Amino acid sequence: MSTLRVFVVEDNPIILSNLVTTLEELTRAQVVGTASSESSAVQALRDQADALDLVIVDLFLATGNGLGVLEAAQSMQLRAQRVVLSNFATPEVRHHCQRLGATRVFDKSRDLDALIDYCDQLAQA
Amino acid sequence: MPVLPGTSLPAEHGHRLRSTFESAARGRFTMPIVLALGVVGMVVNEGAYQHSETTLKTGIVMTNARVKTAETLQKLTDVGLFARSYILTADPVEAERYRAAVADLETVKQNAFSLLAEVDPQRSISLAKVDHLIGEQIRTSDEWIDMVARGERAPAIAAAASAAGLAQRDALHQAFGEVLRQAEAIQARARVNLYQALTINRVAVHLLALATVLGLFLFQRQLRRGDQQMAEEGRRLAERVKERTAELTEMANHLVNAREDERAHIARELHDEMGGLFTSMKLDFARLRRLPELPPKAVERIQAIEARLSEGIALKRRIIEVLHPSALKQLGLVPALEILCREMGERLAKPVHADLQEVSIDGPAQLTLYRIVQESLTNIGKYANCRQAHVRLRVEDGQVCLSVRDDGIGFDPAQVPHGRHGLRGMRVRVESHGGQLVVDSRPGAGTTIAARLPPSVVHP
Repeated sequence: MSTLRVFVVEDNPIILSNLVTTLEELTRAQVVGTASSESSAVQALRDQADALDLVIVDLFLATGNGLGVLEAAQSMQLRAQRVVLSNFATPEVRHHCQRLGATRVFDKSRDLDALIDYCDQLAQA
Repeated sequence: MPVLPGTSLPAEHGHRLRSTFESAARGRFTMPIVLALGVVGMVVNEGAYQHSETTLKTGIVMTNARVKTAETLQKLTDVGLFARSYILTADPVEAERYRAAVADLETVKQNAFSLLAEVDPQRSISLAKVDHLIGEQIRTSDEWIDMVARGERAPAIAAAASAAGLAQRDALHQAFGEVLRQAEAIQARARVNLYQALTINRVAVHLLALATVLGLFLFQRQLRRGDQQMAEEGRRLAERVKERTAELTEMANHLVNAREDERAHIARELHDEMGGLFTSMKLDFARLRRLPELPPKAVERIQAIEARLSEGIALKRRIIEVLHPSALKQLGLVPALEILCREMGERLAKPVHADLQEVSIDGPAQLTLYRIVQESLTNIGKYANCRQAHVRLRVEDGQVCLSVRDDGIGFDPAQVPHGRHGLRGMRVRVESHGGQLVVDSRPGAGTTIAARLPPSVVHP
C-alpha cells in the first residue's frame, strides 16, 4: 500500500480545503498540488507530470475550464489518472469528459463517497 | 465690410410690406374684407348698369320726342298748306283735308308733349309758348277757312298773305327750334352721364378682376405653403417615429442584456457561494459518517440530513440552470442545447428530437439561440398540446438557422394576445444580432419558430 499523490484543480477555496482534508483523512491520498485556473493547472501538470498518480478536476473554474485541463493532460499523455468532480455531471458532460481521457466523472453532491472509494482502490492497487 | 445704413433699406422695406400684406391676407379679417370688396364691386356694377339703362331709355324717349316734335312741325306745315290750298281752290275736299290735318296735329302734338314731359320732369323745356303759338296759328287758319266757307275768299287770301300771318309762322318755327335745341341739350347731358357710367363700370370691373387674380394667387400660395408644411410635418413625424423606434429597440436590448447579466450574476453567486457551502457540508458528512464507534441511530440521522442536503443541492442546480445556462459557457452551444432538449423532454414527457450541427457564432448570439429554444419548448409545454417537438440547428446559405417545430394545435400569429411578450422578446433579441425571426403557425397545423443569424467571428 503506497501513498496516492493527488493534484486537485478547484477554484472554490472552501471546497478545496475541505476536499483536501477529507481525502487525506479518509484515504491514503496526499494532495501534492492544487490549482484554481485552467492555465495554472496545465502548467503544474506539465511540471509535475511524473510525480502524480491522480488528478481531480472541477469543470467550472474561475478562468478557463476543466475540459481544457483534461484536453491538455490527454495531449501530453499524462500517466496519472484523471477524474472529474463537478456539479454538472449530466450524461452529455460525462460522455464529453470520457472522450477527453477522464476515467470517472463524479457528481459533487451525489458521488463524494464514490470518489473516496475510488481513491482508496487506487491507493491499494 | 461695413454695411451702409441705406443699402439694405429697400429690400427690408419691401419685405416688411410683403409680410404685412401676407399677414393681412392670412388674418381672420381676410374673409370679411374679400366679401366686402366683392359686395362693393357688385353694387358699383349694378348701379352703373341701372344708371346706364335709365340713361339709355331716356335717350330713346328723347329721340322719339324729338321725332314727334319734328312731326308736329310737319303737321303744322300741312295744316297751313291745306288751309291755303282751300283758300285758293275753295274745294270742300281741301277743307276736309285741312280738318283731318288739324286733328292729326292735335294727336301728334299731345304725343310729343307727353314724351317731352316724360324725359323732362323739371319742365326746363318751355312748351307753353309753343302750345300757345300752335293754338294761335290754328285759330288764325280756322278763321280763313270760315271766311272762305262764308264766300269771302278775297279777304281770306289777303289775311293769309299778310305780314302778320307770316310773322306768326316764323315765331312758331323759332319756338319749335328752341324746343328742339333744349331737348338736344338734355340728350347731350344724358350721353355724358352714360359715358361716365360706362367708365365707372369699366374701372370697377378691372379692379374686381385684378382683386380676383390677386386673391387667387394668394390663395394658391397659401395652399402650396400648407402642402409644404404638411409634408414637412409628415417628414418630421416619420423621423420622430424612427428615432423613438430606435430608442425603444435599444431600450429593449438593454433590458434583455440587463436581465441576462442579473441572472448570470445570481447564478454565479448561487454556484460559487452556496454550491461551495453545500459541497463542503457533504464532505463534512462523509467524514462524520466514517467516525469510529458512531451509534447506529446517529448514522441514520446523518443519512436523513444528507438526503435533504442532496435535495437542496439539486434544487440549487435547477435554479442555476434556469437562471443562466452554465453548460453553454462550459460546453458550448450544441452540448448545452442537447442537455436542454433532453431535460425539457423529460419535463414535458414527450420526445424532443435534437438535430444539431456545430455553428460559428459568438457568446451573446449563442445565448439568444439557447433562450429561443428554452422559451419555445416552454411555450410548447404550455400551449401546443403536441406529440413531439424537433429542434434543428444548421448552417444554410452561410446563415445560422435554428428552428423549433411542433405538431401541436398551432395558433394565429396575427392574434397573439397582448401582454404575451415571449415572441416579441425573441424577435428583439434576434434582430439585435442582425438576424430575423419567423413564426410560422396556423390553427391545427403546428408551430415552427425559425431564427436566422449571420455567422459571427468567434474569439477563442
